[in-house]
Amino acid sequence: MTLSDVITTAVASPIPARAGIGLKPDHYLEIIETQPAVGWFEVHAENYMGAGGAPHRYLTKIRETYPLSVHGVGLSIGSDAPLDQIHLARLKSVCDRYEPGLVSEHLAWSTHEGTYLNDLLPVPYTNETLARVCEHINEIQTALGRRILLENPSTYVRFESSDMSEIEFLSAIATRTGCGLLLDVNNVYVSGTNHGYTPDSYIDAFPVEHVGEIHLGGHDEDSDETDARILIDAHASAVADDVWTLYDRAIARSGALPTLIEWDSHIPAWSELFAEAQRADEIIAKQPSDASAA
Amino acid sequence: MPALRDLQSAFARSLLDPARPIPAAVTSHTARQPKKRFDVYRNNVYFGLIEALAAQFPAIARLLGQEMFVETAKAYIAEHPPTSPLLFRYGETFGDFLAQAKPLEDYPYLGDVARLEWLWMQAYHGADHTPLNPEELGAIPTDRLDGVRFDLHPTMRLLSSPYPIVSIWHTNIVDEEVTPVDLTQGGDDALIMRPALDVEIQRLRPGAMTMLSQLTQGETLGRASALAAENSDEFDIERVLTDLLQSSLITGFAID
Repeated sequence: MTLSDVITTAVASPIPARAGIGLKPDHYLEIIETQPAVGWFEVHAENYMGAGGAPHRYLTKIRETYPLSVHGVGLSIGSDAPLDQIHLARLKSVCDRYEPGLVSEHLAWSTHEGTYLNDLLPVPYTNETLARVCEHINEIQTALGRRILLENPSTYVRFESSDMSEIEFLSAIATRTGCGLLLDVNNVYVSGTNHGYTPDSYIDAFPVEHVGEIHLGGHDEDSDETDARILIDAHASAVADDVWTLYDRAIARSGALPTLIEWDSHIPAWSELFAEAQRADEIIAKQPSDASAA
Repeated sequence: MPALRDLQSAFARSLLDPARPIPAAVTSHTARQPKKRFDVYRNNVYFGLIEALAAQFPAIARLLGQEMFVETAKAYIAEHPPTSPLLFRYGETFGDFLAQAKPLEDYPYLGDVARLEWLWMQAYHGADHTPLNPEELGAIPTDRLDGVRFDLHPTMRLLSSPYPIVSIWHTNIVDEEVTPVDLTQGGDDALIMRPALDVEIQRLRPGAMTMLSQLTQGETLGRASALAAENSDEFDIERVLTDLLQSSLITGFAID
């Protein structure tokens, strides 16, 4: 079987081109009891890597009704060091257990010499990094037997050594490995503001033909030594109006795509999250249904 | 020349040690040495891990109060950063750290309370196992009880402390209002287990700890209770055995 066979293999329960919501334990019971009209849910893979107990019980129940997307935060794909094989095996067992419609990870690193640094750290955009990241993605796609989506990062600093743009870098990864891309529109807004480029120009240049999913989330604001704005990808608030506007621009280019509302701390009442998802659904419904994207 | 490895080593060193300068390779479109921007990563790492520890050790967070907990957690993180992306496995040595921390030497029970909370979290994520139907236990002839070897629930953990850790944990986590605990009331033997969805923490009767640990090692009930009686004058075999048979601890058995 070639990789393209793997890519076209139908998954058990595909993620529809609708709004989905990042699943939080705070909302397990309400979701199970009220069966809200949400297109799908996404979970952080690492939260379901324990052996048993409440997380698996509730997710299993929710998975009976809804399509599920699995989003990894701990594989450290951007590390120079080899992938953690034990962690990769854990991700595979989460995928085997829940048969997600999509699996995604980040263009970032988080583990170094045995220490887990608990953040999605930036990589320099060089040929050396590109080769290493592609090796790691090939390894993951082979281990999982499926295509993954790679998310564009939110970043706060740049590297002197970078000699290609983030978009060139992500496009090259998608072309070389056959992986898809996850376009996080809030990350585009955060990184654009932090590095002094217009988020619109990034969206206009993004290779939307590789995009399989969109993320929307909230950010916090701070400033640096020169009083320039710094935006922080905090996922602790509602999606900002500017990010909704940017989403309109992105989805007009890509066509209708599964779109996730992410809210990971200071988690609101279910009704507030659900309202965010409805807002995304209204925007998606205005797009042509035959998306050209992957 | 593996530039990426060198860059990541320098980045990781500066990240965990705020006293270090930021890595030379890092820049921004405003400041040439963007310390405040690099500090976003430092804050993300520290505050994310402090939150993770507060979620693992809610009674400790409550006992220490916000300010002291943050200060203690920062010192722990600097000395013992996590080694796994699974944050529910972070903090195994937090109890040892608290027990040895100079500023906390007036609160010697903190270490064992943290060890209790660590075992709570491991039971929460532990493997599921259905307890045995009590009717099956009822089928054991009374005169064969001494020769029974029990399989105990895989989430079961035991912790013995010279401090009343079950009372301290209970009032900080379960009670609606925290009530003072008399430290001179003596130590607790704690049982931690998760028979279904909820983790249970119970105070064991005198001698039950010895009996359960012997049973865990595969001893027969007769031998385990004899050892318990040797170790504790207050061991009441009937009540301890009734507790055991009524608990959801037993998942299987064999008769010699």
